[in-house]
Amino acid sequence: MNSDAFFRFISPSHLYFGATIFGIITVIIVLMIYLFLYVKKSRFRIKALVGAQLNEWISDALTEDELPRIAIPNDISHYLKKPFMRQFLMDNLINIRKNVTGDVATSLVVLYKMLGLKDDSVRKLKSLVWHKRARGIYELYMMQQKEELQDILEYTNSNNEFVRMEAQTAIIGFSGFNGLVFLDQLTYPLYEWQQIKLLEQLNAVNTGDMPHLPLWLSSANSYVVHFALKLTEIYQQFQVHDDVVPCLESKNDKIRNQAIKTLGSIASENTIEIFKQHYDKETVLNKKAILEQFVVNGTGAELEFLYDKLDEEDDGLKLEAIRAIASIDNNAFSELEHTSAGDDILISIIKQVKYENAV
Amino acid sequence: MIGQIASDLLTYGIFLYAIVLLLFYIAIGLFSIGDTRKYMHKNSFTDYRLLASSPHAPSVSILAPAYNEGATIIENVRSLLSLYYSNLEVLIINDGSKDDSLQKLIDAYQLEKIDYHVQYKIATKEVRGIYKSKNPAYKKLMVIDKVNGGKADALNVGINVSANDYIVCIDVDCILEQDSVLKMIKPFLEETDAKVIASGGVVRIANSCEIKDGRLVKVHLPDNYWAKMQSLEYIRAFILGRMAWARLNGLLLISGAFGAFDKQIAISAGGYNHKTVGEDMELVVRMRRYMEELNVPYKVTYIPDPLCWTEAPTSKKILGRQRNRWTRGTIETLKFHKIMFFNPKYGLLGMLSYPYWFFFEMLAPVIEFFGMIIFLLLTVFGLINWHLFIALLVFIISFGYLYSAFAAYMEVTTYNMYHRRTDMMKLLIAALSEPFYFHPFVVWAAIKGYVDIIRKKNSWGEMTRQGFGPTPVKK
Repeated sequence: MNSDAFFRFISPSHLYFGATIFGIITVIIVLMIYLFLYVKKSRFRIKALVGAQLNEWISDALTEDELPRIAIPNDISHYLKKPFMRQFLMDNLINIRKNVTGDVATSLVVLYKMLGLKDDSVRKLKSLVWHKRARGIYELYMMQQKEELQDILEYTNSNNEFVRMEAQTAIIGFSGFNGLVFLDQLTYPLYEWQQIKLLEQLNAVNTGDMPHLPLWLSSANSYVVHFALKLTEIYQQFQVHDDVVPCLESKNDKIRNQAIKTLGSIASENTIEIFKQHYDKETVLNKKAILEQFVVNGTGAELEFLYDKLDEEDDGLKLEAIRAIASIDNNAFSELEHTSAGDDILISIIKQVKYENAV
Repeated sequence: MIGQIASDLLTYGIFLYAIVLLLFYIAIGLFSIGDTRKYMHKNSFTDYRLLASSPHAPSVSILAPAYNEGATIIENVRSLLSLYYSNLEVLIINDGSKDDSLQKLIDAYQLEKIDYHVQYKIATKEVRGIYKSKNPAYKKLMVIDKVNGGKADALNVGINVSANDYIVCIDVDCILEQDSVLKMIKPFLEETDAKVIASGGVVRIANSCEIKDGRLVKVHLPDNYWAKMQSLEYIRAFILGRMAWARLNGLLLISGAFGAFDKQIAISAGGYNHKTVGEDMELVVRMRRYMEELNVPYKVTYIPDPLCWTEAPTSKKILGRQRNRWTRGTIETLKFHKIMFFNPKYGLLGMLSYPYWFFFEMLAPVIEFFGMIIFLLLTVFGLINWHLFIALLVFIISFGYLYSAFAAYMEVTTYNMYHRRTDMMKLLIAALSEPFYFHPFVVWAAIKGYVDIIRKKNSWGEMTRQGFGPTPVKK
């Protein structure tokens, strides 16, 4: 581009035109800001106005024996034609549902259906928009709509992570330990966040059998293996001890770390020996995890192994070894204090362990 | 002939620079929309309480360096101890304070010196002692007393002492939302094949807000002009800029006021560098470089929730010092890692993030400053085409206004921290003055940063804060 062409290109008229366009868009954005604020405030006012009335009506309705006979007050039903008010009511019912059980919870579900909110949730479930679908699943699960179980089950292996997570949560909510069957088919990640969520959910129901546990422990999906190891640890599934051992050879550090913790919690006679043989192959973090298992499962026979670990470069490993020695044999620990005189690092670690044991 | 070439180079070079910069801004604005919306939808039915009480939640250490914070340290620690997260330790690192910070902590939290072995995985100044409380109510608290070595050194001591998997580094005088740790840790728990090495959160301006017992009670737009302009800047930077860069996995900066890191990676990368005043940016860049060189997939994530509130400078003097330091920090960091500049071995980091920071963050003030000088010279010699000049000025300023308005729109439609319509009006009106007053001042402060770096001056510059004292009365 020669200079004439260039200056024609950025001629004042072009620049003023561009600036005008920017100005118009700016004005539109500012108007949108105020329109948004206006709508938000109006909705807030309506919610404040109707909210108290609505909650009072819900409380009255929940105390009635024959819920379907309760008429919805006219002013409330007027507002319930607005989608945002229906969502507001839905959210209120879910919040109440989180804090109640028994008959009140059952009445709440009846009320949910009576108000036609279930239709809203099913519509959301069938939506093509991921967040609407995820919300639909969430609402149906919170309101214990087991009839939708089959439809929701399909989504437990959805390619959308949020839809998938809500579906998995729902299935566990509906079926407890039996709901874990979705792990058989899972090909997508099961995030640690989701694992924690599912464990908390399972914690609230009676422990059930997990006959597919060996299958999950050998799954091609590393997330399923990781979760299965946690289930084994928490629910003390001693019968799968031998299925857990191969997990120590996984390429994934996290899986090996969890396998160490899991084996520690379901330890058999040969577990410590397995740990000893595996120790040198591990990362520092996993070595630490192995030594932590000696605190609970170690015996006098492991003292020599633990003394060797006092020569490790990482002080964290020395600390774990000394913790294990102190836990296995108090005399050996006292002896160590004497033999370590002159080794400032060991003395410092021993002092820390003594402090920990004293508090 | 040479004059003509120089003139053409200047004309077309600056033009190209401006065009690329505008395109970057447009891309950043558009890119931030999708991820912010996705996060909002996702969070609308996320129950964070689950993680707060779960025994399966990962262990987290909060590292809060303190230097001469005696006036507010007790309240600040109380606020940190009340954060919702059970698997948490709070490490206060007293960086050789000359005031009575340590004694105040000992008295208030019934601390006693304990035997604790410190492994200096990262080389630091000496630790004089470690204190824990005799009162089980404060069992999460640990105070480390060390020889003064600066913020980076104090944070490194915290990393060495921390017993947990993740570290959250904060400024002790910041106010954190109660659920801030929960929200910051979640990205680490959503890790896929790419390891999450660090996560950043939004820092917002707390000036003029109502604060009670170390907690933010009500948000107001700052009354002070400089703080108000920084509010606008922070909205633009955090809601648009960082969100867009995080989406690209190209984020280079996590604010030192509030950032979470994978401890092992932070240690392996060498911890904080105490040879720079931009230690927060330098750590992120180094951690990223470390992962790139290992050829391990990784991610630096970012969440748009306003989780941390800080007091912004309210005077030109203090703001100038802060921007001077930020400029020096950027220059130092980019200098340390110059090997990555347009180096395809570092992928997006080397080919996009680093060059962006180099050209549009580090060099921008220099280009603007010299542009102003050339403009003055051309004016003196009567060589300005005023018609074109005014048109260009109007074009650029109107683009700036558009960008600010868009940032305000994103703020309103997402977290909407300023509920009062008048606050938004004040913010938008204040934005009108930015190109004429605030921005030139910031450029001048950055130029002073360049001068200081040439003079090899590497001090932090005193940052006087008023503190979150009595709440201002709002009408």
